[in-house]
Amino acid sequence: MSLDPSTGTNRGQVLALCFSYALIGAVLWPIGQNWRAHPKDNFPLSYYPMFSAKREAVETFYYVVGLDAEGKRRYIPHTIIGDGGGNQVRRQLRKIVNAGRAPELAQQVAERLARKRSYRKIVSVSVIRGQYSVDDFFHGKKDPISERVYGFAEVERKAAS
Amino acid sequence: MRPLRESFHDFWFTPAPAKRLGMLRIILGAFICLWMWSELSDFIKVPYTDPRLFAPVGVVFHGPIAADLFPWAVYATFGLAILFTLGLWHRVTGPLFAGMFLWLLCYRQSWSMIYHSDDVVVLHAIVLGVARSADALSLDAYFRKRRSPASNFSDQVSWQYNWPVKLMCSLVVCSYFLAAVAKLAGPLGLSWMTGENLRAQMAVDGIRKELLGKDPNPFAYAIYDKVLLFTVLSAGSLITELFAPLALFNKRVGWLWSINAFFMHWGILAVMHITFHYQLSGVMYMAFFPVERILDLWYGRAPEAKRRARVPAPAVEVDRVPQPVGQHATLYYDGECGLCDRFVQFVLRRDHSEYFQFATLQSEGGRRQLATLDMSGTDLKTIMLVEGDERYTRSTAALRICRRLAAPWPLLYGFMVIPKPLRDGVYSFVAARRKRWFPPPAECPVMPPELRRRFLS
Repeated sequence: MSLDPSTGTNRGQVLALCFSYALIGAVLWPIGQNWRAHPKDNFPLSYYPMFSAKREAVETFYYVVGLDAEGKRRYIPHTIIGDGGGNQVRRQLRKIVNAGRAPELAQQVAERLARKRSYRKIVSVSVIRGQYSVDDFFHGKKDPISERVYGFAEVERKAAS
Repeated sequence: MRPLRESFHDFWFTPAPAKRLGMLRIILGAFICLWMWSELSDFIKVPYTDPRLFAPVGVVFHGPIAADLFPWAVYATFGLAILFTLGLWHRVTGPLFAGMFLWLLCYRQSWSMIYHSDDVVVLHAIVLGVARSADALSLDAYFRKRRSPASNFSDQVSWQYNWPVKLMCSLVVCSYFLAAVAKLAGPLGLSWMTGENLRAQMAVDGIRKELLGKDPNPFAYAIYDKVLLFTVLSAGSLITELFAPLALFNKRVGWLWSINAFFMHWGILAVMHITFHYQLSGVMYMAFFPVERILDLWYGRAPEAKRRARVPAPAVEVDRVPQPVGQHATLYYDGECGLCDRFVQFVLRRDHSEYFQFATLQSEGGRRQLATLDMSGTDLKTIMLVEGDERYTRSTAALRICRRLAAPWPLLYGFMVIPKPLRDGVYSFVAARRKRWFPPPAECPVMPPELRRRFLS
């Protein structure tokens, strides 16, 4: 290709077109995932499935709950459960539960809580899969319809020296 | 009708200034540097995630790399991002940066979560990395100019600077179009537009966040029962996504669409607390705009004013009628209108490059000029701007004037995206009442000679 941009050649334009077609084609390629039985997302070539899934009246959620000595619940933040953003940790949590490694995670979270003063009242940790009525939740009824504990660990703190 | 192939060729290869591509490189590079800097601690933590959660995506075809090695990859990419922004050794650092950035983001997203908001930023980095985006506004251009002034491309206009811009715009609209297709091809189809599902999506997202320890979003609770609002939001966002390709074929449509998409993401942030950095910053849509004009608006006038200050002004007779030629534009206005008078004073104070000259519609000089332009019948309610061979009236004239004033007034030029009939409607409403609202000054202030010579008498 000519070095001087003012004297660009047809060859240069053909190359530019090929590159452009290739990139646009690659970006549009994942559109076929929409009609697959098991679509697979990718990066940076995505089919952008966000917000397209149908939501049900009752939805399933994965989360970690800490209990204090009086049995009061406290939801454990994603920053303590794992590394990354909230959505990333949520997906990792589901993957861990489905892989049967929830007890291991509960133990890890318990160890992290033991080192945090702001969670000193928490005595145990549960990794939970729960079902909630979406509409009820947004009208103030925040109790789960059902819950199943997949992992449990007690928070063991070293005695203050 | 021209063959489609020819029209496409013109669309893709119409000459564009090198500075546009240079400006896009700087804006994208600065965005990536700031973004990487703010997320550096999260980047560094990536290799410490449980390796059993690793699921490679994109160009990552291997397993997790050594935890000690990864920070160096992050630092190297960050360093290359700085070189890319500065435009130093771009023929090497541009593609290298694009490749490293692509790998880094793919690796980061290989831990069970794909962030769709990062797709387009990496694609744009690839385009600008391989294109000649450092021919202007770069250290490469600076050194090239010093070595050999004849080979300086900074002020060049060429097809080589247009296709990357068009490609960047195309990638943006493709991503939105794909999102629309995913919704329409999904289980809900067109009924996605009813808003019920968007409302449920917002609610599920809110519950997830609360169950992962975040505070409730009061705004989401406040609008949850406003079903009609969700219908409007759903229909609006689906239309924005589905018709995104139209933004490519008309400059104004492109601007309007970009602004609409930009605010759509701010709406998503308010409702769902989802942060799409690239979209929210507006950087994603910059390719739709003539960004090189930022230079003209921000500091381009200053050197011109300084140059004028250095060159002794020719002796001008105060009463001589200067002709509106070359680097001047002439504003014709109603000399008996208080609002027009204030506007002229406003322009005089902010037109540091002395670009504008003025003539009242009632003055002999003004009438003579208008007669030569075949515009003798200009209504007193109409301000008119003559810029070279072009004539602009009403709101267009006012906004084009703002475009040439000192910062921040050029920002008002953004109102040009509003359709002309609407703008002129507002203009006419004010113009019809201008004498009532802004009575003419009782006495005219005495003007210094350097200002008087800018008025056609």
